[in-house]
Amino acid sequence: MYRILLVEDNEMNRDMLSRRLKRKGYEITLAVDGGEGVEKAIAEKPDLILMDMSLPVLDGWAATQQLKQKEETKSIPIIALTAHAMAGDYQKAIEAGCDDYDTKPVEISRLLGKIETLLS
Amino acid sequence: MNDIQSNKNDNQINSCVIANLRHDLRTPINAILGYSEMLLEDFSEIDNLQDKNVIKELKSIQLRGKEILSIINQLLNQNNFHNSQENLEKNLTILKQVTSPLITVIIDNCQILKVNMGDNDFMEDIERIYQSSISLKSFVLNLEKLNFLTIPENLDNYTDVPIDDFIKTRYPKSLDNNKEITGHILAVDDNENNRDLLSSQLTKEGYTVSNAINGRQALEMIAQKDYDLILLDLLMPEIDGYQVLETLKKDEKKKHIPVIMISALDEMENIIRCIEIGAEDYLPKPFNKTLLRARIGASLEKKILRDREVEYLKKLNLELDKGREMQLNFLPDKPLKINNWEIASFFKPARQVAGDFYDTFTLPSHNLVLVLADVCDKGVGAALFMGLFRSLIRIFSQQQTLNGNNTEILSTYKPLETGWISSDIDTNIIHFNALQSVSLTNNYVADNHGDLGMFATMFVGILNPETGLLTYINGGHESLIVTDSQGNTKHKLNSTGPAVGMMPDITFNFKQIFLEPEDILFGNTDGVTDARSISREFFHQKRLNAILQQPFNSAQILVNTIKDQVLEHIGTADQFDDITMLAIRREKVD
Repeated sequence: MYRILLVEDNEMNRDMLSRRLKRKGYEITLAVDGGEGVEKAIAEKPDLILMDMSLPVLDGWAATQQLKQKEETKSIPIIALTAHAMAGDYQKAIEAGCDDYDTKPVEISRLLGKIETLLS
Repeated sequence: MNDIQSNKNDNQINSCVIANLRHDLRTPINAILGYSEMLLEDFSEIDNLQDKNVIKELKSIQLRGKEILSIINQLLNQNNFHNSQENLEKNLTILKQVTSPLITVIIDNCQILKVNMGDNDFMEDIERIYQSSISLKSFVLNLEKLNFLTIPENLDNYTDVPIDDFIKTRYPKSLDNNKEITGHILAVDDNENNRDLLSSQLTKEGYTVSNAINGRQALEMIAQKDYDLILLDLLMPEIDGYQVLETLKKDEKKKHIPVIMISALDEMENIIRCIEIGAEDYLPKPFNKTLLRARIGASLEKKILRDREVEYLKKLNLELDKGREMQLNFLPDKPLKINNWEIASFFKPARQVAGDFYDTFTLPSHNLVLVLADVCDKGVGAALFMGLFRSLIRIFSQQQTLNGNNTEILSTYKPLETGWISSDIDTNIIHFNALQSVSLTNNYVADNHGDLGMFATMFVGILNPETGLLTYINGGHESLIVTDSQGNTKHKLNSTGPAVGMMPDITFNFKQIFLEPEDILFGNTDGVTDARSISREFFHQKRLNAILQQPFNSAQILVNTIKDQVLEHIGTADQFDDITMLAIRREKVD
């Protein structure tokens, strides 16, 4: 079973996305801010990370950069999630080291497609 | 050039505003779409779903949610080159107009779902859709706040700030003034239908509502959070409404929260009991919407006013505390050290600032000035005059020199009763000159501030520390007392004239005595004798005299003894008047 780390500060989004992914057979670990996200990524080595970009403590951009610089975590694929959905976000996410990008509200089938692609 | 610059800024601000707006608007939509989609998935797995309406409502929620999302995407487009202030405002108005009815449909859908579904596993998710649509609605209705927006100086600081905070940092005042009465209400009722009815009604009115299902839970929730209002059902199992109210009103930190009791009309007697112990109002069951709105509005308004008052009082007290600090600085910071003399004092204002004061200072001639005074009235006015009296006495006593031949002066003006008891002409003249400060202060206050009717009873004594010669004026003050080492009263320094500042050009008589080794001169303000116990009994002059008649070999011990007894007498009662004491003892030199 694949393990996904979901880094998201909004309680409802966390609840929703984690439940839906669990239903699709993924094992989910949760983190509520960028700092915790980095810690859990290092400790638990998930197969993939879903990273909200506007996070307290350490934002998603910075957390991604840290993870991509570390030897032990740099190969973990990261999908950036953002509700801003502005022009330039995609470019910014890729530059920060994200492997893919999706907007919130999440369209679950599209996101699942991206997850599967990165995990295969 | 300026136009181009301002256009550029306009676009910058707008694109940052737009980014944040989109984020804040999409977060609740996220939840609405996500949860409704999840529920639809769940239901599609249930084959014989009883109520097809549930699917219908959920699909309606989905549809409206997507519609709102696409409207937001269209109207708040960062790439739009026409993002002027004007355009943004126009788009926000359209956004509000178009999305409000859609959100209302979602809210209605949720309410139907809540009624139809009853209590099951899906209820929690529907509640989340419902809460999200309510917060989306209140957000959209508040979009007009953005009309205030102008360009901040440093745009980079605002790239990731939620729109509400952004507006607050830009316009804290304008927002506060426009604030309607909203508040966080805790509804406590063991009956689920009542709870739902209350929450939906109150949420519609724009309040935030939390629910407690029994008294125990209510108390736990109140302990953790400050609510603006509590709706409390009277009859509940275990801990009932009466007990919750009683506990709450005993809690210093929580007792200000208004409580409205909910009850059936036949419980009127109990309701009266509740109002007696501090409930604000009551609501009869079944609920009448208009009554509910009116009583809650009134209670919250009162609470807001009260909160403001508390806030204001806090500020005022802070100011008074500052005043107190400054006033304490007017008093000698430590007892004067004079060879062979011991000086002790005590000062305790009734309020933060006082009208009492004492002062001890030396003149250039090394003679000592002792002042003990009580400005009429209490509080800030008295405190201001205390500052004035003190300064005038200090200045005038050091500056005044009468013109003329010393012998002539001394033969014209003589101490009452005894005449000049010292043959030291220089000292007599120094004392007499220094005492002119009393009539000068009197004239200054009476001439300049006579209309305020402020005056002070005041003892001013000039002491030669070498010989113990004391020349004094007692302007209407309580008698001071000189006792010997055995506590025998040697002199009673009664009033020699009226209080200072009452009317101009009064002649102040003066007197002379010698303080001998082991003598103690003691003075107090009426705050000592008038100190009242909790049973409203005065400390009384008799009790003070009894202490003074005991032998003391230290001024400090004498003052401490009186202080301890007075404070013990007052106990927990309010201190009514400022308390001040001054004592000076001539030490025995072997």
